[in-house]
Amino acid sequence: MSWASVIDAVAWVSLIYFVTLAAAYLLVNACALLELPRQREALVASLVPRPHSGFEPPVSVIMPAYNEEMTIAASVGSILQLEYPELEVIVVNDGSRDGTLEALRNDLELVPFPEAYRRRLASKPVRGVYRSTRFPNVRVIDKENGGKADASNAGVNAARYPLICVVDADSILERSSLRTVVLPFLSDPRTVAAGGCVRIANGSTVRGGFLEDVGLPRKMLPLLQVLEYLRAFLFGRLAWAPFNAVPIISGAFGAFRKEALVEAGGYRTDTMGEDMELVMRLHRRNRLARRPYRITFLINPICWTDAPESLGVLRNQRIRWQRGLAESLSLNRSLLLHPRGGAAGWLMFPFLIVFELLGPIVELGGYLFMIAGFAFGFISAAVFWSFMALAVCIGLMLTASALLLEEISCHVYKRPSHLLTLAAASLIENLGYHQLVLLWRLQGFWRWLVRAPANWGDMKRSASWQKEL
Amino acid sequence: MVSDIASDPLAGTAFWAAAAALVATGCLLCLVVLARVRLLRRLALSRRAAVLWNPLLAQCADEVPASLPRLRWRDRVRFLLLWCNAQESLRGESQERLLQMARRLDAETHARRLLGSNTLSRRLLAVVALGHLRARDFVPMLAAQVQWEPTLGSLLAAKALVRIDAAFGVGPVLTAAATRDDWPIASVANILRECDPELVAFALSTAIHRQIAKDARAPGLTRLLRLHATARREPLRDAVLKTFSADVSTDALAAALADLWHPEDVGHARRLLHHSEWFVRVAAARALGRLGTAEDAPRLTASLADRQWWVRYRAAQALCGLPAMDEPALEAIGASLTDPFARDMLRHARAERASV
Repeated sequence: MSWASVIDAVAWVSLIYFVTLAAAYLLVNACALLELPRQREALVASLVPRPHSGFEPPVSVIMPAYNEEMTIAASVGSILQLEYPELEVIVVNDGSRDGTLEALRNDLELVPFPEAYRRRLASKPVRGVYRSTRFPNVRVIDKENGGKADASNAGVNAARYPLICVVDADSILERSSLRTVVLPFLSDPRTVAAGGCVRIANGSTVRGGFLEDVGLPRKMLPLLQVLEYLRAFLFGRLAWAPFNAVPIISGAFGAFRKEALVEAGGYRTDTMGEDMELVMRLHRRNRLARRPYRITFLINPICWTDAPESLGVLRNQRIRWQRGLAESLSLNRSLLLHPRGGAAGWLMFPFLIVFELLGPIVELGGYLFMIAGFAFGFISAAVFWSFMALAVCIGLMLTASALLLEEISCHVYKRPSHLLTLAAASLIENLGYHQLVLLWRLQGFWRWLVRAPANWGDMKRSASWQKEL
Repeated sequence: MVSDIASDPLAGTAFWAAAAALVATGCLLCLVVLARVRLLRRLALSRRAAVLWNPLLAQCADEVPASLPRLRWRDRVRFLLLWCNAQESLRGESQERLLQMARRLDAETHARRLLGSNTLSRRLLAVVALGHLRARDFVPMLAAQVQWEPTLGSLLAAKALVRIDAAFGVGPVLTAAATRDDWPIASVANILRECDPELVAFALSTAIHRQIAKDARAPGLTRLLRLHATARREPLRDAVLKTFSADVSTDALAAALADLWHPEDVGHARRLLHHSEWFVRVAAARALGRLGTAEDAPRLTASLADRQWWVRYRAAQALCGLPAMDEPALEAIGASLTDPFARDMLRHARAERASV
């Protein structure tokens, strides 16, 4: 085989991959589009008759916290203001090195509580349990540092109610979020987990622990992440809901049937993507055991979170996410193409491998190959520029389709200027940012391959929206 | 380069694929703009309808407005939505005045037409509205919908049915509640909550007796027993007690224990405190917490050493709640315990009691 035919073959493979990638994501968006009317109908209908109102099962809200002294009191306060008839809040102080426990002690007026702690899931030793004298439904578990997964497991051990909702300490929930995320558990007893969409709070106005006015970030980096969240974390997840193959429920906001979570073994502490791994495990165990179950994603219960505003923090986050993806897939590989795997094993799992896990390799490889080929003269200018134009146009098209879905569903960004800003940002996103993220994802994949030591990095967040609390 | 694109299949394919993606992007962005325009128009209409109708609906809290504007065809869905919400939030005579207002606007005709809509939410809105409008000729259709419609539609039909004719509707709703496992019990309870508890009690009692006679081990019995909170408890007592003498599932036993309220029935809780299923023991411990006497202290103290956390927890709570069980008595029980789990749990429950 001559060099020319090898180069030709590689170029064709790259081209076909890019086109297939575009087609696959357009198909995902089409599935999300088909799911939208069902979710909207249910929402409209539930507004009129309030069919479940007043009989919602009690929920244990678990809030793992590590070094959150500045925001923890406000976060607990916002949870306590959620529209929900009966809930308990369990804050798990995961061995914070700052004054998180002191802040909680002062704000909640904590007293030691002789909890008969029930250790159903393994976790690092609990140093003490406290109860708020101001809010009888708030308890604080103080434990040795073991990571978010470990803290969540400790929270599950202390939870009294049949449903649990794990919430990040730096997240902001809509008042109705909890009520809405519980609806799937009421309407379908097979439901074991339900997640809501997570959006970026940077640029929005927060008052009293709640988001008052939705805005777009003024800084470019979080603005570009808004587009990513729209495309990947909203419609990319919604599309899998009708097939009962939702791959992840965000650790920032997700509800679980406690017994299903405990039976599955809780959160794994040896992975960087504990939220995704748990959901994949629930799919695997239930599918392979032929147990009826349902994992749902809802577009309307909104959780707002702080997006990284510096390249270093964003890089750490993306490396971690990609590694978490690889670990989740690897740990649950028996689901892949298993005769009982259903849509999760035959559609979602291969999709994640081909487009999410291996995507950065093929995409970046394609870019590098084209650039090198053009530089060294074995790729013509016509092929090079056509290929680059294709890569950018596909990115623009996918972002535009996500914007359309957003417009006809949630319509969170209400001002016309928001639309214009997002449309303009999508151009910038495809001219460098997307490629940079691919590089970080490749690093994450590499670190998983070589089993590099896990490193969470320094997750400094600006929480600029918290300043008005 | 143009000639290269034309002659090189790779360049040509990439170029035309890029062009197609660009055209698709343009089309999608146009659709975004169109969607925004449509949404703004819809919001404006909704705002206008709210400005027009909300003050009139609010006025119904005191009186029926003397003059009403004409209900236009294009406003019918928005009006019915606002009117149904007003019906849900107002009570008593205000609801009657809302009904008069709707009759004057001929809302029933609009609601009936919506029943034929292709849009599910409009059809559901029509069902809810006709329920509020007390459209009696609609009852047979609703009774059929309760049995056959998908979950949400059937639940809304059930709600409309009991609203129009509770005496007739509660029976079919309970029959469906026993057989339809897609109906969340919470939703059924929500529907029955609007009815007279006496009426629900008699219907529920009949349904429980019928279910025991038909198939006592079916999950339907548990579902019916879990509806006890919506009914007056006295007329239900016989039906609940019959559960304990029939060959029922353990789920039904636990549900029946939750329904016990008469002090004379405490024997069932005492007997089932040692049942082999832990959730029955939990229910028994809770029942003893409600009905138990000082003589139950030794039983509950023994349950503090149960192998199940929840049994220990409920037994400790029940023990703390027994009549005449003061702190010194609990202290003495705690001192007598040799099982560390039992001791921890009693300390936990005492701390909980102290913090309330």
